[in-house]
Amino acid sequence: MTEPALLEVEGLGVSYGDSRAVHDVSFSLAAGRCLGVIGESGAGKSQAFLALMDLLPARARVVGQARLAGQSLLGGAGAGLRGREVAMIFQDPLSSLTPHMTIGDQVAEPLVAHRGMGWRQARVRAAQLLDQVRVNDVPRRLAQYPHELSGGMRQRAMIAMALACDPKLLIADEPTTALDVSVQAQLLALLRDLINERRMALALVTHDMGVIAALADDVQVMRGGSVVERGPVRQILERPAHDYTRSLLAATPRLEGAAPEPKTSSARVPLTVRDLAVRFRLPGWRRRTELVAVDGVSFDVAEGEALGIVGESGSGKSTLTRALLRLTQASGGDAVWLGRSLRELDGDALRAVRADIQVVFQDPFASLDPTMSVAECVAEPLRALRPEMDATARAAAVQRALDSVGLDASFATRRSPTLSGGQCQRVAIARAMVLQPKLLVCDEAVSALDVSIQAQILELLMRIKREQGLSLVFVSHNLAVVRQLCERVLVMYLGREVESGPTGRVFAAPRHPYTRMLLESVPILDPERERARLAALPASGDTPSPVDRPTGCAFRTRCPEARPQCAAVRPEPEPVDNSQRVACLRWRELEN
Amino acid sequence: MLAYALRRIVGLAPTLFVLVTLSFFVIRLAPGGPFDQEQTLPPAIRANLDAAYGLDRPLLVQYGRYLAGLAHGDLGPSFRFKDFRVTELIASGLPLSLTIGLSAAVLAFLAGVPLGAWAAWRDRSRVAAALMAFSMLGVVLPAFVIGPLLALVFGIYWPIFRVGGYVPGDPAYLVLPVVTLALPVAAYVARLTRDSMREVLRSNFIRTARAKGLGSRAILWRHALRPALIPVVSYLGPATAFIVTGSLVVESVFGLPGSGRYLVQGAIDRDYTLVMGMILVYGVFTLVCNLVADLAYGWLDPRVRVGAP
Amino acid sequence: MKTRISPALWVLGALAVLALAAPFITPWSHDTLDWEHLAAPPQLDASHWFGTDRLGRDLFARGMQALRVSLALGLLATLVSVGIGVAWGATAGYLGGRIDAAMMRFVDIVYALPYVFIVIILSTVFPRGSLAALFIAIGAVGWLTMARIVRGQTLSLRSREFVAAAIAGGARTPAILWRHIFPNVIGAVIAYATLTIPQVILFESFLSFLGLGVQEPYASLGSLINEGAQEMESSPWMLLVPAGLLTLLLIAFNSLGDGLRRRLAPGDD
Repeated sequence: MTEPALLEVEGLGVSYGDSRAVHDVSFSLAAGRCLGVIGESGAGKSQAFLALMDLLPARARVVGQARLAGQSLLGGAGAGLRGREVAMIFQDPLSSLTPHMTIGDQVAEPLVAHRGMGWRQARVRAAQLLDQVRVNDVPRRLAQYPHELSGGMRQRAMIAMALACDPKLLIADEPTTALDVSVQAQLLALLRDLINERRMALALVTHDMGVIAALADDVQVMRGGSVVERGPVRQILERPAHDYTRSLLAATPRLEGAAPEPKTSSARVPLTVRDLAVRFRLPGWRRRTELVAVDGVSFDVAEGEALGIVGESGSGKSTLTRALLRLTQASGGDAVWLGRSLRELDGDALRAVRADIQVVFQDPFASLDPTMSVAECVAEPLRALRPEMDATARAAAVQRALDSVGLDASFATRRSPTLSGGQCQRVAIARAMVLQPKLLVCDEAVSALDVSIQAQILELLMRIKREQGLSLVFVSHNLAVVRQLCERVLVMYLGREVESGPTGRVFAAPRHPYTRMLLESVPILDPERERARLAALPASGDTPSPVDRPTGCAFRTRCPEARPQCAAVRPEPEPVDNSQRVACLRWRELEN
Repeated sequence: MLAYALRRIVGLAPTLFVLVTLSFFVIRLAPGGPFDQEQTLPPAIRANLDAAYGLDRPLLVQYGRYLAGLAHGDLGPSFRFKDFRVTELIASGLPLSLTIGLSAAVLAFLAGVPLGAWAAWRDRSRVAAALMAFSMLGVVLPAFVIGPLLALVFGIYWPIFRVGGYVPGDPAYLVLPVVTLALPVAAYVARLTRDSMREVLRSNFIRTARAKGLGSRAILWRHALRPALIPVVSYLGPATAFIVTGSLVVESVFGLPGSGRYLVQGAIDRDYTLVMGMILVYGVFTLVCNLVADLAYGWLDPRVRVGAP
Repeated sequence: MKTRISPALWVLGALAVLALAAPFITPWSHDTLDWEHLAAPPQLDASHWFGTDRLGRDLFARGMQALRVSLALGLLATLVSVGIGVAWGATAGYLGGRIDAAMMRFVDIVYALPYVFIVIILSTVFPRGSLAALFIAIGAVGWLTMARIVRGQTLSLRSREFVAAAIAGGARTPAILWRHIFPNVIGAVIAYATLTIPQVILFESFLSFLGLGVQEPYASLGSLINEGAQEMESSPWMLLVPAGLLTLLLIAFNSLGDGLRRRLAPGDD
């Protein structure tokens, strides 16, 4: 490497009292290059960079040396560099932007503070910056507040704000984690272009190997506060040396490999859903008084099979599961379980059916009542639906359930605040399985877990499904995970079915433009292919709000293949063959 | 912002209506009437008196007549002070009560907010701890304890300010009452501001502001203050209610001829119209203050105005 | 979790013990007149440790009696407030929607009105000296904050996944309220109840000051302060004794409540 290092860090350490968050971290970064720092939660990666920016709480003790273009960063010396030579963007743009200041003012502010510009002049420059980060409709955005923008727009505004004073180094802490996968792809492409155009250095903190493949030139793998491996990105991804790196890579779900095959058509189909719709009435006297979250969706789930429901924010997939579970009132259509309509059941009849259909939610900690012990949590469904069981029988059933998820007897008396995310999720699964249900609904059940834990829980789910012939409805935004677990897939956009069919076939040859866009947005763990992919990505904007649903085909505002007729007619799912469907007016043309 | 303001103003009317109606009927339902305390009157004279004041009519008719009178800005005659209309009585004492009340409110917020914000900025320092201990005292001590104590200290032992015997227009007589009224509110506002500011200073957008390299003044004033003030502003309404209540005490303790005494005395005397008039006046005042608080809240938090999705 | 007995608790314990034991310590009762010591300053002879008032009544005895009244009233009225507030708030929070909106609008309206109105209205309805009126007046004011807190907690709990999981697991509403909502709110309820007690005591003192509270010959801290305020130029101890007791009581309860609130109900309004 012949370029001089822009950022040099030696022996960086952060500790809080006796516990060390970061230990002996050293690296260097040159201009125009990207350093990707990857690790799971608790690895200390964010802490290290917060230390460089002097953003840690007062009780943190920082040791070590850091220099940016020769100037020292640590020990209060770097205060003059913040916002000028080095800038930082964060994970959640909604909470990281000041809610009562307009976007224009927030982007203009660093110019006023550091370049001595007047506000009017600064706002003009802010408009230019917003344009550079590909924000649409800039004049309107300048006067809007953060909560009025979509997630992707907000993050772009944050980037514009960070770039205002032309920093030499940009630190990005999980910048795309809170965003939809299609938006993530656009943002990664943007960051790549910015590095190249501005010869800026980028330090990127992430837990996602895909992001590393997309942007990083050099990679540092962190665990427990220390660096366990470092090297160029190709080497790390293709020939990892450290066990931990290898396990991270192995745990990362990919779109390759064999997808599970659906059962034959003679299998039993216990769940059939037809035209299920959920509509909410909005409060107040607004012009649009109805929010259509789910707009008539139909699917079947066969015995022993997993159906993956994929979609991004606003797709209605979570609302769909809640309607299925009768946690939310459906406004139309029906779900039929073993011949009985779920919508018509009430009271005791409904409760009897609940024993067959159970659920696991996304947030492992919120899924368990912190005042109840693990045993009590798992026993609760038994108390409600198997009142004839006595205490001994219940305890035995609880024990069996805990064993089946890999938790030993010592966990029975613990409470959720003392457990890790993965352990909480296991308890949630045990609770769901204790009644030996026939259908398990998983609503983003692994999305909040670290990659290695995610792999373990997926293993667990696959094993249970295999051993007990369990049917699954698995909702996720992560296509690779769905591909690993599910035989069939249903793709949703703004509450409607867009495409469905056997997972392997749909993912191999997607027919709907949205499915194609989703698949193209999934990062590939090969740096060169990934960068080529990003460079070729068409701009495709953000998902419209469900309140502002476009007429005709909901996807037409972002579809590269849209034609006038797409605004007039709403496409219904048509069979492609006897197992696949697609809802697009032009699918036949587009196939050729 | 305008739409928000209008919505809020329109919302006042029903509350006021409910207040008037409720008070009217509840007071009339009380045992005893305005003329019961007099020496026992012969029934004939009593009947005449009742007729003269309209007390012999059905309750709903009386209610209707009262509302009609209100539309003309007439609060009716006082039953106890027979030569006066209620409007005159209240008007005689209201300016003083309003002056004391408003001064106390302004003082409380002007003192409490900066102190609380400063205590939050210099969190964990000894000054902050001292401030919070002092404010605890202020929260706990009621006006009828502070008032006499202050009067004792500053009026008698160390006479800087005047106590007892009011001379109109002389501010020296107003200092102690205003301070007595303001102290508990200021103390509570200081704690509220400090707790709220501490929360805000820990939030993500303040971290972003720091990352932008902004100076402490810019961070405090431009980024932290407005969100931190939201709970404080929400307290403005109840604070006014508190001050209205407290002004009764203060006027009594310091012997000031405000309008507060009419409320208590009127209730004891069963002087219906006087009590109704007082409730109306104080009620409007409280509701207007709540409205100001609501409007300020709308200005502070754009999500309320522009409507979060 | 370590439980450290806070100093506030010690103070409260000491005051309570003193108040209850007072009749056995002092030779005077709260309404006996000592003609030889009218308006006497605190002294050791004749056992007038806190002095006497204008009518020769021992201030220690009266002060302790007033303390008993304040404590009893505080605890009982708080119990009533807590009962109403929890029921109201939990119902509004769990049922949600329009019922919740209506119930909390009612709370908002009453909250915005000065206490005086309720007091005045009630004082005209009930005869003077009626303890029932006192209770109702105090209860009418104290439950509002509790209702708000409980409603807020219930609302946020209701949307937590473990409640949804319980419903999906077949639990009925009463079971959910009892096993999930209640244990998770109880912490905040205890904390705010402890903070309600001083408010209630303060309110009662305020009523007594206005002449609407506890009547002669019984005293409450408020009525003692009222008498003391009138005599403060000549006999300052008549004001300082009840004021001091009230202040101590209120500070102790507020400290305790604050500490409990930080531990049991963090991040609340």
